[in-house]
Amino acid sequence: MPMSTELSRRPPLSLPTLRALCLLTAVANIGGNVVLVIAYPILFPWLGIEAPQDLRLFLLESALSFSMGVLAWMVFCARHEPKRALPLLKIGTLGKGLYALIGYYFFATQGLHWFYMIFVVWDALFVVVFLLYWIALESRDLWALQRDVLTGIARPRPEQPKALVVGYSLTGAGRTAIDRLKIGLLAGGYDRVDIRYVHALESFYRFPMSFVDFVRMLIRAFFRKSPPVGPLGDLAGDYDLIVVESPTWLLGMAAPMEGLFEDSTQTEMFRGTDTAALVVSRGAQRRSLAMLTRWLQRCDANVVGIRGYGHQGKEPRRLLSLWLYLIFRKEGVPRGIAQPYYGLSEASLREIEAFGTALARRGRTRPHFTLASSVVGSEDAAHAS
Amino acid sequence: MLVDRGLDSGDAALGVAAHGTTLPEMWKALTVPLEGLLAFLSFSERSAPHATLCVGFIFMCMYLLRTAHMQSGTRSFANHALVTSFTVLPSFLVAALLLWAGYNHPDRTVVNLGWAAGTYVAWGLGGAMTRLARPDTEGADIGWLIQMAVVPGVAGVVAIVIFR
Repeated sequence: MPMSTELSRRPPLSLPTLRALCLLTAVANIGGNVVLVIAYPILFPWLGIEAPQDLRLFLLESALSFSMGVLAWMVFCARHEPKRALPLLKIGTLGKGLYALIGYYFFATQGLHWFYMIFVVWDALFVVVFLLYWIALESRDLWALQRDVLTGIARPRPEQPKALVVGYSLTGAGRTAIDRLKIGLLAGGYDRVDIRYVHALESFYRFPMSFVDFVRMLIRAFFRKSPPVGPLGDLAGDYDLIVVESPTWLLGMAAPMEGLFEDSTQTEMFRGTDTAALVVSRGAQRRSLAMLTRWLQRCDANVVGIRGYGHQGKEPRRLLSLWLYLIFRKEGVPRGIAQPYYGLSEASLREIEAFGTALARRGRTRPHFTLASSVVGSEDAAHAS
Repeated sequence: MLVDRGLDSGDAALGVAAHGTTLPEMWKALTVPLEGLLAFLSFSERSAPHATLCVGFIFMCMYLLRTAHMQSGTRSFANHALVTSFTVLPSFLVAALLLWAGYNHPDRTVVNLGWAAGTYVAWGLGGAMTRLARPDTEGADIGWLIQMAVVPGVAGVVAIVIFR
């Protein structure tokens, strides 16, 4: 199934469903605790539960659980507004999570009555619901950007439109993707597509690399330390579209690509230009795509589309093949263990080509993005969409 | 050494005398809950299913939390550290638990591998669940989970060899 189709499907737990679940726990926590505090002298003997040994602690616990219900009510009232809902969801997750774990611990070790397990299970369930709601609300604009190609900045189309693709590829998988993207861009109407590769000025960013260099790159990727990069070379200027491509290193965008964005002398070209992002990785492209997009927005670029593609093959062999490729520097080695191929599938490459064509044929009605709208709360703006 | 201040009711709840408590006594009183927790996590015959549930639930939440942070704080080191460490941490925690459990209950080192696998299932389930809320999440990274199973796998074998 094409990626854009897969991303267009409605998730089983949509925002209204998650919001309704918040209302459910609000009613249950608020109403349940009121009933419990009023009716426990009758309810507990009837269920065979020992009367609370410390009434003060019992009431305190009920009050805290009641507050959690109020919090869930506030999440419901936030109406999918991430700025209001997300901090509440974080508190709710922590509160309910701790309650569930502590409650279960005492059930398992101290023989707490089964009645209290109702609260434990309920809270554990809503930790998951709150976390899923959090995931659903976070950076929704990135989801939209992966589904469609948005309209570009309204300006007269040049007579000989040019596009630029800036990328980084350590092992070569990205180069294949960039070549196919170029085919798509040319098919979509561009007269000229320039490709520029970013070069790190530190010598250990190379392939094949030694094990020590590999570890060094990993550690630097963890600390997000990017190397300085060389100039991109002669650029024609006045590009109608710039596409940036990056692989994923340690769940984030490749360090040399980050180095490019940290070099303010090289990012001027993005200002006021339609841009797109492409990530090629083994299978973890979500964070890299987010990083690339936010960098572009920070550079005052108008991001019209983003796509991420994972290597072909099935796990766990796919990951094993990646390690073997890094070790033996050849695809399909050792035979029978590694996949015979390395990199993107033909289907993914065709999608990238189609993405290029769609980018070239994008509509142009959007007024120029301003720095204030695109950067200052890029993530907040994202939430609003 | 005497502690010359009164202790609040929280300490009293832990069974510490209000005055004249020595620091070692106080330390002991404060670590009583920790001792209980460590005993719980030693995967004894009685606690193993409960501990698996608790640890599995934590791993599931870690996967969900990691996914929730994937697209935010894109320039923040703290965020990146959280996302990457939550990607590997469960494996190392399971490894530590297997060694701890083996040390406490040498006869259960083999059975504990099964319980450890249970926590792994919950970890993967957390990843798979992310797709319920957003189709643009990556779901459970099966390849990574299987690869990281090497860490507790080795720890489990070490526990069998050393403690059994």
